[in-house]
Amino acid sequence: MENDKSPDNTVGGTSEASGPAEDVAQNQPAAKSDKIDILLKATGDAPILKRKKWSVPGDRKISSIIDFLKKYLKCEPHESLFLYVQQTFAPSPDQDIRNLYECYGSDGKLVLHYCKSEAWG
Amino acid sequence: MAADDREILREVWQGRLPICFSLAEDEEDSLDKQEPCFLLVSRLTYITLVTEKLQKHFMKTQELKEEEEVWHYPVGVLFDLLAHGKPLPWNIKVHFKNFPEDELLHCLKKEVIEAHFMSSIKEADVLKHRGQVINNMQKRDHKQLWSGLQNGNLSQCNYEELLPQQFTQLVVTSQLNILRQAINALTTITVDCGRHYVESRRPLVVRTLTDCAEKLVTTEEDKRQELNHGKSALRANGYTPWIMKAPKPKKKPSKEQPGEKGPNISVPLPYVKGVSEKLANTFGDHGVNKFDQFWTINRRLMERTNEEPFRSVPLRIYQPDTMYIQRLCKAVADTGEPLNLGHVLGNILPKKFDNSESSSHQALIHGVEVPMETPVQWLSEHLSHPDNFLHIVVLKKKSEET
Repeated sequence: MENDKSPDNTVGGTSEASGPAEDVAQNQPAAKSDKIDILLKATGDAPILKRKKWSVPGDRKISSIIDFLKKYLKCEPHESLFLYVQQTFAPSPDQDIRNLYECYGSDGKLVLHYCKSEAWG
Repeated sequence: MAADDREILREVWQGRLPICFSLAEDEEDSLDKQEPCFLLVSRLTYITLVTEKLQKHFMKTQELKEEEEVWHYPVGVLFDLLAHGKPLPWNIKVHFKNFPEDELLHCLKKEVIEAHFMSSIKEADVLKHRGQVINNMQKRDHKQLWSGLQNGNLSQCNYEELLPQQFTQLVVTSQLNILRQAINALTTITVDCGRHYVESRRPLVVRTLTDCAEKLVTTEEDKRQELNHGKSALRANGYTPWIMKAPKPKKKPSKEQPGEKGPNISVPLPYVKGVSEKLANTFGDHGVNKFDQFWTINRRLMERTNEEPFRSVPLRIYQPDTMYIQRLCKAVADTGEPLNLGHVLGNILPKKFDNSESSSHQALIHGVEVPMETPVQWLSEHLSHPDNFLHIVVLKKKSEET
């Protein structure tokens, strides 16, 4: 986690990009306990994130994490982005962070790998 | 795996729902009056794969609005969630929307669902065997799993008029065990009309084979060959050759009473170009050979490693109007005691399943209420969907609502 410059970032506090929690944070005052720490790690040729650790609501879907990453990494519209759990499988777009964290989280966080081409397809 | 177990797997594989697809009222005015489309749909398939048939029926592009967000739920899970206990057929409204680039979108969607399906299998294997089984499989095996599901679980029928006939056909074809060799799928088709046939059903087997030859084959020469294949298969199972000529044999076809005692004989049918494909497709439409195709590979994923139970059981719990729940679920407690469904649900949904007699909720798998004492290891091995997950639908018990 050497590049993890702002480990306690809870999203929304910076102006350079809004985090995956943006709209939920606006719509409902999600309790802090509902938030889950995720660690986004680049793999393959994907660019490395300046900020790797994010705190997101448990009901946040994988699809919106992907959308956020695409925007954040300035992907072209035709470019794909893949997310992987345990470096083995791609979770379903409608899967939520809570379910994944409960099954695959460790040390209080969920690690997700992202890449621009299918890695463990 | 015991023979009984295989019958359970087959029952699950053949679970179907009659569904009536009709146009949404608000869209009917703008189009010519369309007859509804009646389909017998496998509980195990995905709604996306059904839309292909609908497209042919309505000759239009459409999307299923209601189902859009849940396109990757198996059909049976959707039904249990939305329409459990309601009269059949299940009525689904179809919404039209015109995409000029329809074909492209459609193909894309199919690929998306294939990717989703394979990811689920991978995830399930991570849970069961730390992903070791799926990693040792080849790409070809993965494809076989998918194609078994994709083509095997749909058959079209007009519910009102053709269903009884269709059912007869289904009963017969499901008894015919057609095996396509995995190595070279088109070189041989094996017809196994062995000892498990009930004597009374044999005339139906004959009629089905005759029908196949009559309807599927175009040239006289091919018809003759096809009938010969059928004959050789039947002869090996104690039939006399002339039986193929008689559409409804009134007497028992054989003196030898092959019934329960007869050997289980398989007769390889030589490959005939254009014929074998059609025959295979016909049976494929009824999900017959696909069962074997799928389970040849899937068996490996469902095996225990070194007799150990699964590390954890892949399952998802669905409830109306909310996101499904997925949790780590061990097959055996730390004390060594096998865990059952009651333990698991009581753990995940303690308010709904307090393990008392008067539980307010019920758990459905493949539309069937499962006893709480059933060990989850057994459930996983026998009642998992093709994606290797147990999909459990939790509903309020009817009596509680009054």
